[in-house]
Amino acid sequence: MSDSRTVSPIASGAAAPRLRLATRLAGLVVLLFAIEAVSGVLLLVYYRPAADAAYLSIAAINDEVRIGWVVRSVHWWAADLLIALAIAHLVVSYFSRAYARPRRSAWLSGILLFTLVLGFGFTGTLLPWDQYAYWSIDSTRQTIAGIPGIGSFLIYLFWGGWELGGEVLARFFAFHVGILPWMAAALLAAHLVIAWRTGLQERLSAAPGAEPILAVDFWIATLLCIGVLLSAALSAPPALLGPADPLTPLPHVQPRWYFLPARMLLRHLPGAVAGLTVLVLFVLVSAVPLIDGRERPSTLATGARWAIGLAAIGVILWMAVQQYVSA
Amino acid sequence: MSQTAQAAPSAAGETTRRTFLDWLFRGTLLAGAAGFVGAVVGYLFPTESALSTLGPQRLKVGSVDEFAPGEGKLALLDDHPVWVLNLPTGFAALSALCTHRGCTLRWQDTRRLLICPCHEGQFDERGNVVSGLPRRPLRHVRVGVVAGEVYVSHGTPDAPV
Repeated sequence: MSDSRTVSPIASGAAAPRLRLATRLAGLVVLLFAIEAVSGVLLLVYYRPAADAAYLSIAAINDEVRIGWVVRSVHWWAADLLIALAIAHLVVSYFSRAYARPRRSAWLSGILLFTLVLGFGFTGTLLPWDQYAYWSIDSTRQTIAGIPGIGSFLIYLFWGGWELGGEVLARFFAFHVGILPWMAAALLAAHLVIAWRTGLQERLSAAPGAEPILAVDFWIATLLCIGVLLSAALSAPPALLGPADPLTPLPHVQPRWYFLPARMLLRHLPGAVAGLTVLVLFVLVSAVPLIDGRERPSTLATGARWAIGLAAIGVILWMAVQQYVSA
Repeated sequence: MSQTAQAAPSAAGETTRRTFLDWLFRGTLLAGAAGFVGAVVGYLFPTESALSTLGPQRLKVGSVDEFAPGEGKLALLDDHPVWVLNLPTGFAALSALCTHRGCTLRWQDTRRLLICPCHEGQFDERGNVVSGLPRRPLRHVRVGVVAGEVYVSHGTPDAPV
């Protein structure tokens, strides 16, 4: 503070801390996580998690509650934006080798957080209980059931039975608002503490006199993020198809965009193989710090990291596009 | 930021570029916070239908626009016919069963009378007997407008029309 009395951190860019790209993205993800928490609690005021009431309560939020449609739209779009930025954070962290010693636990907690985020998206998609919610979730049951060994166990655990009905809605609701938020908050705290202890603190204190909160470009990114979120939320509120009807399948239903590659696997591989592939990929990604764990990588390892990373991104994008154009 | 602004060489009361930007920044934050709080309070404030005293068991008769002045609509509230009338004093709802023998009354908007087709009993728009054999007035039914829609519900109105 003594330095900043004469030179404002805003006035002199040299005093502002230089943050890594991955850190900036992470900051936005945390911001969106907070927005999701606030808008989610607001939705909780009017939402009713029962098969005969859920759709009507969402319709009431859309049509009757003051700015209810905005709150729902923000919750929807912030989720998409959060997942997109979390993916970006993951990709940047991979290429900048943020998983190497001493940050191996940061990588692992990040992968688990990402899994939780996908869990939020998955359970949240069902809650409006409209036709899209019903049939897009129903179509994933085979994928999950196809995971060898634990497939049917997972179905029983998360579905609470075999059919998609009010039981599943109650369960997904409990996961979405009662279980996942606490797990995510705890993991996020751990993730942040690890990041703080393994470099972030050092980086922030490396700029003497700088107040990290005044990093101007971070404020700009924050405002930009909120601007994008509000523009999307106000101009394209999520659709609400008719109430869920288990007797009328919705043709050509696509999952949410972040599940497109997984859905593509299911379409072209038998359930067991698709499930096994997802499981193996998950283990491989989690084990990246063990596979390439040295503090200073060899040239060969660097080349392999870039080759594998770019190839994986290419394949995943190709799978998503294949799935998207197939319907 | 405030410390840095105070440290800037400026006489008391003089507006420098820095203090101006400071106030602009604070004002923006304050306006944003006020807008957020206002939006949340607006969101949490009960909806028009939740504030209505009609109760949850209500029957939608139609939108306000569907009623010409003086027009009446016959509604069935739990198998009981009810006349919903658009009167100059507002909407009114009366039991449509004649208190004489229980025939369904007809609304004649030119004379503003409910007339029984069976024995020519006549009631006015308040449900009082005008002429004929009936002795008791018509029962009032609770009626209200919520978000442009006319509803009737069980129970007597809070204040007789």
